[in-house]
Amino acid sequence: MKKFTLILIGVFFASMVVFSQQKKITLNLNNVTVKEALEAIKKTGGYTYWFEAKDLDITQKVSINVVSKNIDEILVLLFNGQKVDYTIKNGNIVIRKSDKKNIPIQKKTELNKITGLVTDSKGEPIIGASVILKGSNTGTITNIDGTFSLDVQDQSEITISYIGYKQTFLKIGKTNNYKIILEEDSKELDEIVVVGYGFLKKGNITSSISSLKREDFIQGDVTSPVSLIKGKVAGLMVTKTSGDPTRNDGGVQIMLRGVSNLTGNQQPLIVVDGIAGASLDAISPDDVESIDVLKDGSAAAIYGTRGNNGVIIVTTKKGASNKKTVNVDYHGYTSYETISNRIQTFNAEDFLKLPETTQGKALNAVTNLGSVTDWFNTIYQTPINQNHNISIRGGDAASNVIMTINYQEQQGILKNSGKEQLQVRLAANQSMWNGKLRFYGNAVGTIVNSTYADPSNYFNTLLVNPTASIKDATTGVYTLFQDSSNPVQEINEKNTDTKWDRFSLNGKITFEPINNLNLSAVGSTERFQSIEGTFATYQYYNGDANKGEVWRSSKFNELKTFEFLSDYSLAFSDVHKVTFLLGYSYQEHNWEGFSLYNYNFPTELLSYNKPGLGLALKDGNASMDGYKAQSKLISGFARINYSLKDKYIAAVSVRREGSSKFGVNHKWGLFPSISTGWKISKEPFFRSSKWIDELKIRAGYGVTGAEPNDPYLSINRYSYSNPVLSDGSWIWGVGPSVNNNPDLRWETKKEFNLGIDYSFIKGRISGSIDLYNRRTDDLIYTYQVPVPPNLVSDIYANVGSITNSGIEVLFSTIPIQKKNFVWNITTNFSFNHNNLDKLSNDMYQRDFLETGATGAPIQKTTHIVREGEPIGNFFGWKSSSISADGKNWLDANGNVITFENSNREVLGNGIPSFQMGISSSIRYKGFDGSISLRGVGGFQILNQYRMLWETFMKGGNHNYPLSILNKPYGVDTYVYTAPSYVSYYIENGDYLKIDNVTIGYTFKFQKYVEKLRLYVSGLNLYTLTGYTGVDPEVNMLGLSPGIDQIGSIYPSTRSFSFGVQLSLF
Amino acid sequence: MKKIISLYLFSFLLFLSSCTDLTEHVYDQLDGDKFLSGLSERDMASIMAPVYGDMRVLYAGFSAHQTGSWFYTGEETGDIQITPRRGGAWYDGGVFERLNGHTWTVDDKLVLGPWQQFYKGVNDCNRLIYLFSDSTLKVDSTKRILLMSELKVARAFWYYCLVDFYGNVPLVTNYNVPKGFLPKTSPRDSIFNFCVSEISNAIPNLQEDGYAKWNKYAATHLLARLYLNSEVWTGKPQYTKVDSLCKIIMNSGKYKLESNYKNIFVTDNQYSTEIIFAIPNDEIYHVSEPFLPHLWSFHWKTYSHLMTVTKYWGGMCGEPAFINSYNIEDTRKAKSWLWGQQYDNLGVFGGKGASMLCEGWRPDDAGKPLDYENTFTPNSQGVGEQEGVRMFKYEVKPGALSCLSNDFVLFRYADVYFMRAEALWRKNNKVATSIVVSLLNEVRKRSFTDYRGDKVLLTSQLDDDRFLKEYGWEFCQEGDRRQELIRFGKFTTYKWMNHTSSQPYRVLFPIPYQELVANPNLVQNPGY
Repeated sequence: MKKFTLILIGVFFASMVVFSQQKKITLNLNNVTVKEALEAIKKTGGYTYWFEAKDLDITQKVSINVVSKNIDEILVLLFNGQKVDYTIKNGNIVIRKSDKKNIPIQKKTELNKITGLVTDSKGEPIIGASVILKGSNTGTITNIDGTFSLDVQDQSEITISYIGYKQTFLKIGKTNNYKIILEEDSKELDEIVVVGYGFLKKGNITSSISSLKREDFIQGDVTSPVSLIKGKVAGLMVTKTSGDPTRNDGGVQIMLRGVSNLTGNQQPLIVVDGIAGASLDAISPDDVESIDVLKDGSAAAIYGTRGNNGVIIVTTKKGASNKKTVNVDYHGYTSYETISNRIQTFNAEDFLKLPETTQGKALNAVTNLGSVTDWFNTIYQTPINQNHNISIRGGDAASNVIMTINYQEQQGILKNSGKEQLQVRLAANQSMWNGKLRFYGNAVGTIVNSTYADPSNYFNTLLVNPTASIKDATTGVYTLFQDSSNPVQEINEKNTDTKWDRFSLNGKITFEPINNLNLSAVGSTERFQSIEGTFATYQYYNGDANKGEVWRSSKFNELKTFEFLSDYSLAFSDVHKVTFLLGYSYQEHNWEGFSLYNYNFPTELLSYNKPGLGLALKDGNASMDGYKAQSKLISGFARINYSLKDKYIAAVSVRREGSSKFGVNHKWGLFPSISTGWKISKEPFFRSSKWIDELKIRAGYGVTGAEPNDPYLSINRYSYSNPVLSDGSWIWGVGPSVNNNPDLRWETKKEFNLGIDYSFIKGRISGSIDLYNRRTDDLIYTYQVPVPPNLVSDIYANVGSITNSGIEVLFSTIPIQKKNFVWNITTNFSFNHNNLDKLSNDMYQRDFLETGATGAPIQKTTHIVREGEPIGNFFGWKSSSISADGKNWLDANGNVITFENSNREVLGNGIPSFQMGISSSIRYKGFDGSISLRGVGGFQILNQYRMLWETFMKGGNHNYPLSILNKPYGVDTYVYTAPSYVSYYIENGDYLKIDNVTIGYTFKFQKYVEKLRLYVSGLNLYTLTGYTGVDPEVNMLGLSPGIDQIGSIYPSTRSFSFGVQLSLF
Repeated sequence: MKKIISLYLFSFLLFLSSCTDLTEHVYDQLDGDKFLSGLSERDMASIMAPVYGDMRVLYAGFSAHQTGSWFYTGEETGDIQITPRRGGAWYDGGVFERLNGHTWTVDDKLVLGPWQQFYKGVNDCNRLIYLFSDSTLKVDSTKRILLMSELKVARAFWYYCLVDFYGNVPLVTNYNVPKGFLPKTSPRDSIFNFCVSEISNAIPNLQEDGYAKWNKYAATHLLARLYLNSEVWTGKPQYTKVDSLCKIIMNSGKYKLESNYKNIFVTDNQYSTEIIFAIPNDEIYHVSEPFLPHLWSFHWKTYSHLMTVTKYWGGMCGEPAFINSYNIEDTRKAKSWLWGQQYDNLGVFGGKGASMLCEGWRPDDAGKPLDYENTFTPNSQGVGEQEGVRMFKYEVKPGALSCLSNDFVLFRYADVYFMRAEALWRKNNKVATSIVVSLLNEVRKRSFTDYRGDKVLLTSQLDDDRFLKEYGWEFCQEGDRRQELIRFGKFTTYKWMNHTSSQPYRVLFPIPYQELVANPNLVQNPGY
């Protein structure tokens, strides 16, 4: 492999560079190096240079004083005295050693003149590619059309090469005209990866970072940005536990590399366009350009006390374009949803036959209320959703702008629920003084209206008697049930409307006093405001004493950020390259709100709009409350990236960070990291291998932290509560409300990561393997303490330790790569092992925690958290059989299970231990197709609905799941026990899902319309699982994961979309 | 170059040092240190309030039946009151059966709950005693002495509860303890002696009056109660002292037996002449720890029958054998328990309509009349939703919310009669004298329309069993049953639904497991 020592300048802002060849440049440079001159031209004109170091002496001193000249004229001056040629196209200036003099001007007859066209794999001509006769210095470069002509002898061989592409050899045959396609040279290695506070070339990454671009995203009716990368990142589990369209988070849970704490907060730090802690819910997925996931400690340590759960960096589209023009893109789709899996219960006819069906073994009679109601259909609707996104971009290098407008309308699968959202974003760049001073500003506004339906209504439809009527036919009063509410009454008679806005404003000023030193100041404010109103009608209370109920609440929260950043890069010859980063960050989070409640209204006509009218206020039964709190984070941080001969790379970072939430004795923490990489493939002994493009080994170690969830835990707080009668009148009591802990500090995670990045056969096979071990110490949890001397019986303290270790494998291949036919497959696999190492120390003792709840009437805890075991273990009674009369569960010895606490055992674990994702895409001419599959396994689910209702013991008043007719353990009886927490109801959760299938066709046009793409897409299409509930994607967070919680889960849905993408220019 | 870099580093450090203030500002609560340093006379009542507010945990709270409370635990461990399993309901992992059958475990929440509640009370008193002993606090000396005396009696009350439930417990009287301080267990008699001396010293400084306050007579009643139990708790009988303390209360002329038993428990019972110490409740002012024995007891449908806003949970009821022991003409039976068929309100609030039917909590009961009956027919699914008569001692007013306004009666004048009678009877080697029976008859007679003949208690009738029954008929559902059974030696020997007999060590609860883990200095009670 020919040695290329290339300097790539301008990478950092490559995506923002806009250029114009016609631009007139004014320069005033005296006795500067060629390098400095090139950079000055880059700043003004936005050019990127490509050259071999040996061809151009960049240390030569030059002086250029020109006013309003073309680039060509300037370059002639610049390269005066150097034997180089150059070509300019699309902002790229390719500089090569001049070869004119070396072409022997021989007019021998044996010489053939050949011509050729050099293109990339997509058929675009490559300008400036070098075409060299093998074994000589003779050659040429391709012109602006990508063509060349060259005099050659018969049987000779030419090599064609171009930066960023694989060198190609061509044997000259009989023909005189050739077409050469250059394949991209492991393009991933030159991809830009967003790291904390900066960018790096993918080849120079030394940590575990997954970087996904638009083309990798899940398509279709995706409303939450994180769902775009579901199943695409090894080690990142994204679970959608709710189909509720009104939830700001889209019902999505995220967990990276296992459970790392006891507080249940597994939310990675979200960084949106550089603002850490920003909110994702105001970003339209259409606006997302890339998502980078910082997985290991060495990558996340630059984010200090918020790095424990990893960092997800979202970068939105910028107003960059390669030419001075205006682009308009439109993307719109409409979709409809169905419930992904409907639990089957008895219809009225089968319900009445139950005593007969069970031959009297289970039920003697059922309650026949004389009607026929399909309860599910009474509250179910088929949601039709739509999404429209317009983005307008324009400008040039010095001044550009993007505006996007997004409108979404989502309906819920339960009647009377849905959401409408409008978002407008405006971002602009402006640079002046030859690029020495740059401004960036971004404003996003999102407004949302939503109507909420309580998810418990879905479960209520499973419980109510199918022979019951919705209302009494004569009185019009809703039918009441003991075991559940009347779902129609709930849906129709109680409405919750929420309106919220989020505005985010941020600005950045960058000053470059000397070359390569950038000083930036960043200021940002994100504000969220919401107002909510709920009204329950007279009918909601069946005409009881409560006549109409109103809840009103309003919330405000705000994140203010100020940052000062500076970076400086230096290169000492070609051997050492160093980049420094230094920063200061101040963040303040404020949140406040209030709520009120009132009832007994004189009319229903005013809904929740006149809350003061409720007589409960006059009676003293109305209530109101409010809250306000604040937290702050202040930090300073630094990083050095170093590269030796582009073979050995290292990054060292440190963050010193303080949080107001920490105790007075531990306000400041230090979070260092180091990572190194070795590009083995650059070693001489590897050069001979033609099929290895790149092989890199990297190792990283980083320390990160986690803040407590709540503020003020270290402050001695007094609160008013518990009124008492004192001398004949009622007064508030005041007293301490918590044990403050001045020693409270961050949770500390130390993580070691070992990884390999590989790329073989011209990038046709690539991927990475990562091994990690992360230990979190000083876990924050509530501990029992004696009273006295403590004020209350629990305190937040840093005690426990958890270890997660695992492996992540990424494998991508391109089986077919032709101009008109490309096929990609990307797979990832991850496995994680979790262990709770410690739960006690000298001061705070806990042998184990019992967590989770079965719910009434069982009233048992469901999980155990014990030292030496993983988090998420189900802890209950192991059933092996059932007694012949179905009234008792039997253990392995055939004895009746007595539900003594001492007989419990671990019955499974609710947190998946492995995940596998497969994505494949095909492009054939105008057609494109993609599929994403995801397999999740190694976990169990407690089917709470079955546990509470799959027994005939509760009589014939209410409906049952059809599965109640299953006879457990092959015993000829139905379940007739009291609802019990036995292993019979714990099911394997393993599943394989087809998350997404998309098929599209793109039309290309010559004028006005750049392209038009039509597509159909399906989300959550098919689930292969043995699990019998609605969806095996259940809660995986907290200390009682894996419970398919009855009544609190909005059923998940499957959606089908039809979309249009249109680009105008 | 160097200049630029140093300038740059300098400016950076300037930024770094400019804002590093991480002080927290509390907005919706008080910063304790600031609040206490600026305390004024106006804040005194609020500062003292927790001393009385804490006492509500004796009986209240939405989950007190699961997590334990003095009232629930004190009644359910005895022979009068029970929470049976009813089909799928009221099983709750067997907590109620364990409590009623004396098989509670060291980690039962019902054992832990009262411990934590009692010590929270102790701690609040310690905290305030520490605060008031600070001479910089602007309180005049008379007021300071009064507040201190009230606090010491309040603290002694919590130790009285602790010495009753757990016996040997740590005695902590200081608030200002070194960091990491863990108290040691003290023997039962030293706790007892501490209570006696604290109360005796405080009584002279207390007020004569004051509803729902530790006034002179409430403290005297508490002291008498301690002495009444002295023989069981310390092995030393002190009945003469009980007698003289009761006489002090009687001679004060402050209290009078109600002519109607029900008046003591009505919604507005704060006007009752019989109450010596009550813990005030109010459906409006106080809702965070509601008084809700009615929720625990009635079937949810009873809300129509009783015309209340709140609905009920329906578990707790009377033990049939005890209910049957009432004299047929004793009106206290109907004034304490709810019987019979329950009626609908026809969908109109306040209306009374059709007979209501059972829902089938046990499948076989579905469709039977919802008629509270004084029998249990338990099967493997427990007892029926209609079985057992319901607690009805405290009036539930029409339109009642989940929180009742009835004040909880802790000490009442009738108990002074009983304590004095018991002390004299025990002093006389359990032989009843005429004064003993006349004290008891004085209380009994208001509950009979025609008090004579076999209704009148005779000296010959008074033995342990009869005395306990007298206590039960008069004071059922008031929280003291466990203490009474233990004093009469019947706690581990009487039979009731889930109890045939239990080990003698069950007269004390174990030191809760969690507390032992949190404080290794504690010593477990014998037997556990």
